[in-house]
Amino acid sequence: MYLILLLVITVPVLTHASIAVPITPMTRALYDFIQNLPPNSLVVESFDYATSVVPELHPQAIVVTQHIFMRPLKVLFVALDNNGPPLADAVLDTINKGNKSYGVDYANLGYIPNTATLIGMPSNIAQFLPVDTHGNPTAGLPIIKEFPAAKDAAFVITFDDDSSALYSYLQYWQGSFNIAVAVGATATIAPGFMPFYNSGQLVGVLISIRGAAEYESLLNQQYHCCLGISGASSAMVALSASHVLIVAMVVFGNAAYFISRRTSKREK
Amino acid sequence: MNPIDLIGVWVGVFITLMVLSFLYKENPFFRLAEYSFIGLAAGYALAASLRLFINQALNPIFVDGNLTFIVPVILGSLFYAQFTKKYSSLYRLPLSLALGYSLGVTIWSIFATFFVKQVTATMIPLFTGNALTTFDNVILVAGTILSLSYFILHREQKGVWGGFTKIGKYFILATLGAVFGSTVLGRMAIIIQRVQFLVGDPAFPWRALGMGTATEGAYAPIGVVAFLAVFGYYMYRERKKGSSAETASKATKP
Amino acid sequence: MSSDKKMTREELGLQIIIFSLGFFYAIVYYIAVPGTVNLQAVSDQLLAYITAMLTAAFAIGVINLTRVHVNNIKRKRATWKYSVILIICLYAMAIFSMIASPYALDPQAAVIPASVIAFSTPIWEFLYYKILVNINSTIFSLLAFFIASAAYRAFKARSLESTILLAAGLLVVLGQAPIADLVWPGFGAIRDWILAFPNTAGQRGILIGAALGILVFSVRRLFRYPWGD
Repeated sequence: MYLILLLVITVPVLTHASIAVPITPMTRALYDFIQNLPPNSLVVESFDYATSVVPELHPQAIVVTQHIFMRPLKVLFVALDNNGPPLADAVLDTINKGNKSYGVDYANLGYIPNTATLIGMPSNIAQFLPVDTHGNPTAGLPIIKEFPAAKDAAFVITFDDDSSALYSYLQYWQGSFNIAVAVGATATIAPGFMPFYNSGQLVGVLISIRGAAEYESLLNQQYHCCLGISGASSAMVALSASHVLIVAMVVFGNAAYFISRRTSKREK
Repeated sequence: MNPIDLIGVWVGVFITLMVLSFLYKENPFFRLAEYSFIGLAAGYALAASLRLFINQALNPIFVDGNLTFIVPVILGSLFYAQFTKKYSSLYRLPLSLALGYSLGVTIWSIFATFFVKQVTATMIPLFTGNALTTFDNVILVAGTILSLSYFILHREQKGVWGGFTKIGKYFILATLGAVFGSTVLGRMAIIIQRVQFLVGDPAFPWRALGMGTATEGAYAPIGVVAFLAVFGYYMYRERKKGSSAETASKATKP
Repeated sequence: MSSDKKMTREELGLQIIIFSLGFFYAIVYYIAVPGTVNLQAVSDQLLAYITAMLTAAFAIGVINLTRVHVNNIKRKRATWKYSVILIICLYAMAIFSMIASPYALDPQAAVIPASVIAFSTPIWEFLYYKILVNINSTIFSLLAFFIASAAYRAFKARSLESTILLAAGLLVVLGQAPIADLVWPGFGAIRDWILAFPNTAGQRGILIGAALGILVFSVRRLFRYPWGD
């Protein structure tokens, strides 16, 4: 069984097969929202995932960050998971930053250790996150001088693996200051976010690696670039094959169950 | 090509296969990876927490000269009283402060985000001009109310009321089915990326994950072969040990 | 409702603390007192103090872990050799992270020599990216195999309830596979519909129920009702 699954995944990977990915409305909504943000808006990217779900959320972080850097926006990187800062650094190493410079157009403020800090940031960022990940005093950064309080942010996107980060942003940032929120979610928790998308509390939802592949496709359609930047698109054939295998296993399992049930009834 | 990154790729391959060897059976390779992981994760968390303590508690005292922060630092240090026998109950003081603040914040934040906005979003027109939209809205409103009714447990779920809660149960089951379906996507995404790593696929985000470049990654299959050789030898030794133990026990039996 | 168990003086004192702080934070969101008292500023300052207090507990987990595993090593329990590995990994990673990670204690080399930081950085990156990230991802990937195994053995349509669960699950699985969408776009549309309507309705019911439960629990705990429990 395990070998069949490995085979079904390995063959498409080795043959580098590719497939077009249809775009879901939630991914399109997020893309359009970022594309239409006014110039010079502040975006907060929150890296709230552990290293265990890197295959699902890291591709999303790469494509969304690349899109944001292609637009005239300012970005603050924060994290509600202590693995967030090095993963944010890894994303920044990968993307094309264009003309943006650290401290002026973007900054990595590091880990937000508790909700008290998160609640305080909309009033005063520097008071609650006094140094960035390079050891620079936050208050001295030009981007913080321009946006001293997080309530000035136009948008926050959280890459979340256990829903706690999203709930925190919805409760403390959107609830009080009406900051637009979006989420890049793992597939396991994404269905739980549908009520928030339906109620308008979320402007968009990316679901797992497929969401990253869809976003990559949208970037390629508009900017003619970035296909393959995150590795998500190349996984789609293997993903399809593994899903078809799961469906086949369920169907065969149920067929075997019904046949054995009928046989035992006949014997009675 | 960077030799450190190349060694890193091979170490990563070994580590990955050590964990995957659990699918065969529990073995020392998996145990080694498991305990290493716990140690590394805890060490990393310790450094992160210490940095934050310095930023948010010590810097205000020693850098900004705000001596009022000495009080919360002393209160926070009472958490460590739980390791002593005589003063262990002192940790309840900072815990009470944290609990009080959390309860207070929860009351206003939960109410607005999870209750008011969700209830407001359910107040949608049932009958619109479009048959499909009407059907969708009826599903949404009825489904929300009926699935909520399933959790009203102080009243026995029978009769007409039982019928409502049964339909609510079906909505919840549909939700759980959707969660299962979505979980399959998540888990497959992770194993696919692991396979991309093991075969040295150039599409794997080598740089984005600090694993060097695709040039070093192309040599990953060598690490796979090496691990399979080592693991194969281990299995051969185990089998030999098992059969010699069996022979020895047969020999000692009367 | 009253309980036979009365609060001790210590418990009463702690409950007063819980109630005072909780009540303050519950109402500061709703009330702006005009005049001399800036409640928001008081709230922000208290938050800064609470943050400082909570971060002081940074070493509790590591102390516990060290105690348990040093105990294992002292008593030479079955897994004592692995405990040695754990302790070595723990403190090595802690030291290198304090020197060279994004949480470095002295990133600007004011106290720690720059040469030490330069030496430690590739080691930290090796431990983090090449080992920690790989182990963590792979442990989660094991679940993919268990899901495949469960799909064959456990997901049987034995009753109406299990059939509904199975049907919803299978339709979502199919709709997620890009290839299914290309065979018939209806698969994707069905998946989007299930997520947008039946799933949203069920999740919303669960969410509202859970929110009510948390609210009630919070208020009860604030007032410690039933009394004395």
